[in-house]
Amino acid sequence: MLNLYPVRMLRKYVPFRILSFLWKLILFIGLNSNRVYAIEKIAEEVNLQIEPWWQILPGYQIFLAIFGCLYFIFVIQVLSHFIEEQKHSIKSDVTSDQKS
Amino acid sequence: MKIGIFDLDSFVYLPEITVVITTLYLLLRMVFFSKEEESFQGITTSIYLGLIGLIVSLVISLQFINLGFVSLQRIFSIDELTLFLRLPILFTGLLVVLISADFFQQSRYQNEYYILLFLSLIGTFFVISANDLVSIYIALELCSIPTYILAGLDRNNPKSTEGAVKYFLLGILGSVTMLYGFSFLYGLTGTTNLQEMAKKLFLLEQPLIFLSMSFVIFGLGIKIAAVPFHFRLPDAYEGAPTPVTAYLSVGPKIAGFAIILRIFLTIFSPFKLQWMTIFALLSVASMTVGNLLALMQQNVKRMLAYSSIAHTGYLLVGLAVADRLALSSMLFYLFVYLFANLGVFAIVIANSKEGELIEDFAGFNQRFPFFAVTMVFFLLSLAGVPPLAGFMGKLYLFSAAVRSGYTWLAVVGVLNSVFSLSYYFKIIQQMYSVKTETANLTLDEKSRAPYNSLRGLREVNPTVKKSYFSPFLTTAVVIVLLVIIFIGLYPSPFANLAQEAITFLK
Amino acid sequence: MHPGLIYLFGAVILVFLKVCQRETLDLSHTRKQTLSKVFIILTPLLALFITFLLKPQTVKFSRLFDLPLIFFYVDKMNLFMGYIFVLIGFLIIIYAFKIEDDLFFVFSFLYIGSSLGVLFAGDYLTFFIFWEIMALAPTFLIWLKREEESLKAGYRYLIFHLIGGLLLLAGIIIEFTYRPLGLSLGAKPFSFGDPASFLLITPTTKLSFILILLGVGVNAAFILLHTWLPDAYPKAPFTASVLMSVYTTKTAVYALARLFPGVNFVAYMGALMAIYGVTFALMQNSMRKLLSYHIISQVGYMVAAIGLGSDLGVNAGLAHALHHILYKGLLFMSAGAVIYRLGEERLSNLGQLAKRMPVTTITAVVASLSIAGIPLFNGFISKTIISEAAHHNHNYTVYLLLKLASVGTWLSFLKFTYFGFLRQNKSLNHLSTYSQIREVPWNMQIPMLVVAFLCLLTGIYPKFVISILPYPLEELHFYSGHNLVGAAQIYLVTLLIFFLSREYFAPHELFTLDFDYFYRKIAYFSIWLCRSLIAKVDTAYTLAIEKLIPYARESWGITAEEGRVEKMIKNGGGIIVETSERVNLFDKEVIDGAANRIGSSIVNLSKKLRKIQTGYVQNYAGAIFVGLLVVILILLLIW
Repeated sequence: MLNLYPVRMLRKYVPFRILSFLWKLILFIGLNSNRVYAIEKIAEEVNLQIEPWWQILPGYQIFLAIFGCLYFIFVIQVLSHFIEEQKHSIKSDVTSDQKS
Repeated sequence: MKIGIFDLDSFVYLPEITVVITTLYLLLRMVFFSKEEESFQGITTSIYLGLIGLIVSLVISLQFINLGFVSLQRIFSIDELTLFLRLPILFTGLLVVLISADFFQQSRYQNEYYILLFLSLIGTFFVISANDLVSIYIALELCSIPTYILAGLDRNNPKSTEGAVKYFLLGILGSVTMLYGFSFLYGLTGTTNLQEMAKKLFLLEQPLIFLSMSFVIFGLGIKIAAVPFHFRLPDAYEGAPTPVTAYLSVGPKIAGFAIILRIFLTIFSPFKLQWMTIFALLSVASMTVGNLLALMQQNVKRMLAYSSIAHTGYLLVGLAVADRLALSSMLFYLFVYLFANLGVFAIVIANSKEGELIEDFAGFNQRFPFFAVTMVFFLLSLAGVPPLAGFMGKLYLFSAAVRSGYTWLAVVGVLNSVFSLSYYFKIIQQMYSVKTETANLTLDEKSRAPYNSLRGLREVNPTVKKSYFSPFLTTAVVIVLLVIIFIGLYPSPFANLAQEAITFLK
Repeated sequence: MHPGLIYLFGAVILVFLKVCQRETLDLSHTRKQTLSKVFIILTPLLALFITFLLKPQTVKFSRLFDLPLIFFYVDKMNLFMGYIFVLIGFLIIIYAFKIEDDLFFVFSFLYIGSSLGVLFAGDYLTFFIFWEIMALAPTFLIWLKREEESLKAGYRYLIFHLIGGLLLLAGIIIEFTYRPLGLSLGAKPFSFGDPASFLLITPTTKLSFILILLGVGVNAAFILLHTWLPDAYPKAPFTASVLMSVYTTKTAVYALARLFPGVNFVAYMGALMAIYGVTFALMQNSMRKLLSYHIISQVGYMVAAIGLGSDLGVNAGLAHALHHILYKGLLFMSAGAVIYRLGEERLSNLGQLAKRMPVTTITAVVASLSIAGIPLFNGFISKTIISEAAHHNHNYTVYLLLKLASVGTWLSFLKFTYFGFLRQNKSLNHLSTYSQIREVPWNMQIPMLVVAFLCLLTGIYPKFVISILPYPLEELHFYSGHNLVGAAQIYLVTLLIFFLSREYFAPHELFTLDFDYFYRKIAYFSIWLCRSLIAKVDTAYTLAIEKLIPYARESWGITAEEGRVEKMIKNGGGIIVETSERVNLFDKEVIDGAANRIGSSIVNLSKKLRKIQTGYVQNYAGAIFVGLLVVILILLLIW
């Protein structure tokens, strides 16, 4: 089977600059233990990490967020319009308590 | 077992001794202190003392059941049956004292009532441990004679006296005939001890045996009110003061069934098939006649009399089947039935200011909503509705009958239980209906107006309490309610107790 | 000792106290109230205490007519949910302490008790019994509001849940009938009283699998079975809303975790629920309806996690359930606080509450941050575990959909807090009530603060929760840079977008519709069907008769029956009416008549029989002797 997922080196250091006390606190809580991903242990041996292709791009979550907001706005627009259209053709007793 | 010169086996009589001491103390208290009690205040202390005695005895009996403390002697032997049957008797005594505390508060015969009640209880105690024909008879008389007086305690009420006389005459008839039967048995075997007689009777084939068996059935049938022998019951129950009726519906039954168990399972055990048939017929007749006649009654106490006859019928199903499972379910049902019955009588006492007819229960819900709800529970338990205790009892009883092949008996029993719902529901319907004022009573209705049992008892102190709310009555009702709900949901411990009781047969 | 039974008995005792209070206790009114209140506090405390004493691997059997029932089975999964159920139950009862309506507490105890019963059930029968009680108790809670809308909503709730219960029952019965022999303990053939025949394990036949899944899915608010949730929850009294948001759905989640872990359909349904809930929530104006749709969404998270995988997924789902109970309860509590003080729950009319009701605002903000999954709060922890489970299972569709849903969640909760609590709404200053707003009473503040503290605590220090999870969790690095950066990206961007477009998200009076429109149409459709079809058949018949009448009159000589035929035609539905009349007659005369005649014959028999009791002792004695003779005779015969 072709390995469709690219592999990349595991980064072992924090990939951003520590900017303020708050971040320090969080990192302190986070780094102050020996909790490691199990898979990280395995990957340590092999020095590999398997993840989907779109997770390579750093900052993919920004696009995810933008896309998500757009999606929701779009869906809500469509649904609201649909409901507005249907409003006058619906019997009142069915929907008297659907006002929100 | 002996420790030094002390025979520790006599400790096995500690419950009886406690009750006897309590009775004696009450007697002495009546004699010495009643002169100072102008306002009958002191009796409350006596009630408490009586209750304490009963509770102590109950605790000791429970301990003995845990320990399995048996002591088999010749004349009075404490075996597993005795250990078990002490509990119903003590609960009966406890509940009857609680529900009669306020009823007799203004009566002149209050002290005597308690003395007689306790004497009858002591008699019942001895009945359940009697191991000899003579001791059975003596203990039975000790149990019955106070009840004859108790039934007629309301002297100025002609109904009460009439009922008491009927109770007395027919009761004596029964006892005497039973004694006559016992005499046959003694003549045949030369001994009165049950175990020795059982050994000897086994070898004999005399026709006298069946004659004596029929006389014994006759006598005991009168005692427990099986159907052709039940006639004294309704009149006696109707006339007696209600707490006395409550005791009569339970106490003599326990005694009677204890004697039946002892005699028929030891002496007459070779003739099992014969008496099983007789008991089956008696049971069917009692159930049917009891339920049929209860339908038409207008007086609550009379209806409850017929209902208790019907319950005797259900109990006799266990004897008709007569294997271990059925007998232990019979004991379990006895235990369960006494609670619901005493509960119903407690509510009838609460309503006794209004009267004794079923119609006098109208508007009961407005007077006592809590008692109305509990009355529904008690009546449903008597009828055998799950998840209450009566259902569990009937379930065990009838399933034991089916297991041994007596399916027809179980079917008759179930039909009768369903049928009994109809007259129990009459009371429930009246309780929840709204009371209307009956301004113009016709003469007929006036003559039907209740002979208020209080009337005779009120002769000294004319002020009667407005309503029968009293803490004692409520305690009794709450205890019964909790017990029947608990047994209805979780009957296993009590059923196990009953099963252990049957092991006295070995 | 079963904590559910403590609650159930508490409910019974409360009822008795209420009934008793009239005459049997000679106390003043306030004392009776105190007694009830003492009981109301005591029951949850006792249950809480007992639950923390429970040890896993406790099993209590009982038998019911030869059927073995495991009605108390404790293992780590049960206990995990049990802890949070009793804890939140206790807090909600404190929250609702000042409610004067006694029936509220009775039904809430029934509700909590029955859901604990479902939790600790070890076999299908017990499960089902408590499940049905759990469907019935909240109906009464909804009806307690005593308004017309609530009545209707309660009926719909009841019907929906009873249908779900029936599906469950059908599945259980089919399952029971077809349990394979391999499940028996020992090699005996299958028998009715087999202990293994009712064990609570994944259904073994396809049909029962589907039926039980649907039955559980009604309570878990699977899409298309979910319409009761946003319909009924806003129409209950506000304390009841808090209570109901916790128990029904989480019990269903527990059932899914126990019975259907790793089912693929469940995973995708969960993702669908997550998206669907958030989408509808963004449209809502009413606070509680928004929160109800969010219940669907978050339960979708849990359901997806459970559907994903084995240990990790179930752990994730249950951990999310615990956290969700905490923050959703808190959200409903703060919404309830706003309703209690303002009487207004539409977001379009709210705002500017931060100064007046600081505690409420702070706790609402904490809860919103928790539900969105901001780091430092507990939602972040459980969402991380769920994402990890999705990763582990290589189910990236679900992963992406859940991430999408968390974007939507954050958006809608920005909307919730901003428009509900934080914004400057000048139009409200004119309201006279606005200047009189005080903070909610102490009994409502304390649970809110406690739960907010717990949200924070389990977020910062998740070890407590992880140590009681059913399956051992491999050490997860929650606050790793990887996770934090990812979270930061999503949330900050969404925050930015929200602030740029917040006028778009402003709530206004809106008319929304969900799938229940279609369900209600079904009833109308069936009536229409009857009318059209049957009416058509009927008219066809009468037309035929009309043609026949002249012919019938002449050739059959029907004269006397003229009126009858005419009447038949005039009525139009003649044949139907006549048939129904005949059937009715049969019912009245034959069936009822039989019952009546049996009854009256018994009464007559009784009347005749009671004459035996003549009242004369001689007669009695005579009858008794006759009885004796009969006994002797019978004994003679059978000796």
